[in-house]
Amino acid sequence: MNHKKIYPSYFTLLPLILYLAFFIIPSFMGLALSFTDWNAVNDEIHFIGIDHFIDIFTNKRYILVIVNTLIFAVFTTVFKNVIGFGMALALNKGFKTRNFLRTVFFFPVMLSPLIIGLVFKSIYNPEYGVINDFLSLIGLGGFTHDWLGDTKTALGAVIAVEIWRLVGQNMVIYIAGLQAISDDYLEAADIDGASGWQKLRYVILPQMLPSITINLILNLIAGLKVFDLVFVLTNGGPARKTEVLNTVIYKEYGSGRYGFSTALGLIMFVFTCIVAFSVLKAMTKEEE
Amino acid sequence: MKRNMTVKVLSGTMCMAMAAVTLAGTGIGGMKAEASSGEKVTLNFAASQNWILDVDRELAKEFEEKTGIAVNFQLSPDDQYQTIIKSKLNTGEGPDIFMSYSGTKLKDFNPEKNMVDLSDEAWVADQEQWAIDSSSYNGKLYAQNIAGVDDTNGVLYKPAVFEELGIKVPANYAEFKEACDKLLEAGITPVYEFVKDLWHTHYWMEGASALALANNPELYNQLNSNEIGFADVPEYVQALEQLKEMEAAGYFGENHMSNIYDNSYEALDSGKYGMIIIHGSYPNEMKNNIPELNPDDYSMFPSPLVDNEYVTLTAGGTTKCINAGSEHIEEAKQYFDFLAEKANVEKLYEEKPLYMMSAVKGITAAPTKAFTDLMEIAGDKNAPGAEASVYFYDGGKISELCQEMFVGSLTPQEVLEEFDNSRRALAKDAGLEGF
Repeated sequence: MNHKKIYPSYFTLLPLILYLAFFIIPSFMGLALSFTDWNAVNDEIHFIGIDHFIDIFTNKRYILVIVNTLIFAVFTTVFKNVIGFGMALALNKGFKTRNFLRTVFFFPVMLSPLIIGLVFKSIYNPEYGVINDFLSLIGLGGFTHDWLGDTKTALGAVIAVEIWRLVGQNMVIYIAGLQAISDDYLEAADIDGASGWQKLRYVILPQMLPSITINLILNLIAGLKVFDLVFVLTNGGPARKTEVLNTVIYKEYGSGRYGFSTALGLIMFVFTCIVAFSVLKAMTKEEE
Repeated sequence: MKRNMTVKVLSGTMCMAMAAVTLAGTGIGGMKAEASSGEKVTLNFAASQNWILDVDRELAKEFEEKTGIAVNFQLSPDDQYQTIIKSKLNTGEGPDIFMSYSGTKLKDFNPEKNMVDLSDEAWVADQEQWAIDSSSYNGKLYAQNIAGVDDTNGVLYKPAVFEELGIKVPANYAEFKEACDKLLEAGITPVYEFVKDLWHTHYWMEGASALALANNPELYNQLNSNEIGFADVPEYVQALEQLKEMEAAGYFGENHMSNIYDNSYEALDSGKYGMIIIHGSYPNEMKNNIPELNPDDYSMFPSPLVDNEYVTLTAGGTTKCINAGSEHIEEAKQYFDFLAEKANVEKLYEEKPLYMMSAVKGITAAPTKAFTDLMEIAGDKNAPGAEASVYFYDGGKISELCQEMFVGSLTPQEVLEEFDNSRRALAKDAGLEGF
């Protein structure tokens, strides 16, 4: 080992101080505040133990929010991965418009979720939205719908936008993974007479596991932490059918219940860590 | 080795030089910003998007020309405003000036911590007593209300349409349902309800507040001391039951869950919808959006739920407060002085015809015909509403719960019980006696 190329350990000091000051200390302060009645109206802060957590886990309204968040995270993760992987396979082949299409599909990733939310709010509008206009135009007027206002379709409509928004990111990561697979394996499979499905199942997928792991974890975390898209499209409505943890945290914070919203934030943090680490562990085991 | 050393020294020197230039640049920039901020102050003024009109901007411009102090309006969507401003104030990033509803709603912003005491300002002497009372908390004046009452609610309709269809102006719930059925038969959606904008749907419940208070004069005291909750008030329960019935009967049309306030003017003017529960100044607001419209074509009657005949008054509409944490309190006070000058108040009342009662002595408001009709029907049957009289009344929360009632997730009773739970939690956190 060339020891001259290893940086001295004091180089870690500055990043460590910054990390402590801007992440670790505020996080622990947040942890402590979630056990208090800190609020906007009363200047005094009292320790109240686990009261907030009892309130949250004994109130079915908050359980429903956790369920909504999970549904959002799981569905967006599955579809973003499946569609993203399919697109990566399609766009990994050589054809003229390949780079152009890659750019087009990646483009939504670069847009702000707020802007996307506003655009889709218009697209979904029941009276003058493009979707209903298009359905009417092709003679399917009976299928026009209040997509964001109906409790049966609202969450699905928001999930669809999130998938559209980030499928390109998944595609790019999968393309990178596909390009790292040596042609030797695929040629060997061809010589052995493997079908397309067999090549995908036994050659490509096992070598794509690192990419799948990254995408699964990133998508699950993004899904559990979703806020801006839901906020703009439905603000948690109608009738809380699209309410997710972050919109509740925002609303509780806005109503002045800071201790309570911090407790919800802590639950989300723990929840995200558990899910992310479980997936990471499971996938790492699979890779081995 | 020697060459490596030279490279290291050279690299080190260059890094130091770059750091020095960067720091110097930052310093110079900072000094410039400080100098310029010393020359010109900009007051950040936060309000809900529909509270600020052209005349407010014109007055701000005139104030800037006169004093050199600029006013930067920061507007938020109506149903988000309260949340945004509370968050900003409590993270120490509040604007210099912000607007608030009057009455007990001032408490939502923790006036003793977040608002400057304006009791000794010169313009206070010109205020009507009700305007002072509704802008005070614990004996101190925390807000300026030069504008007056602007949101006493009633059901707006077009008398010509009612006449054409032979509809009698409803005086109770049964007559209101008859009116709705006749409108439906004529192909008109009876009521424009915009459930998506959370600030509105609770108006139907709040419309029964004056009646509930008339039936129980201690109502607000009992709610504020936690002797009872909203779920214990039969008028509120019945109002929500009837609201649910209206929705189920199709009186709100198909898209009420997606309807928004901004589309209401066109919805009413086009004749597609027949009525809306709204503030008395609304016809003037419609005219601002549809210039050819005549506000006098509209009239109003009291909310008919629970066979109500009362008009529910607000404490005093919207008010302006100065953030106690602002660095420009004196400049903000200058702005308030400027706005309170007689010529400017007159200009405001003339060009912003949204105020139904004047808050300033010697100034006469020009109420809409609809508002005048409403007050005439009610006569002396009027009283303040719960929104301005009950601590932690949150119309947005009630409206949100009403969404759940419409889709069958909650019963009317459960809506009020859930609202009581959230209100009690806030009051308990705030240390209110009895909670």
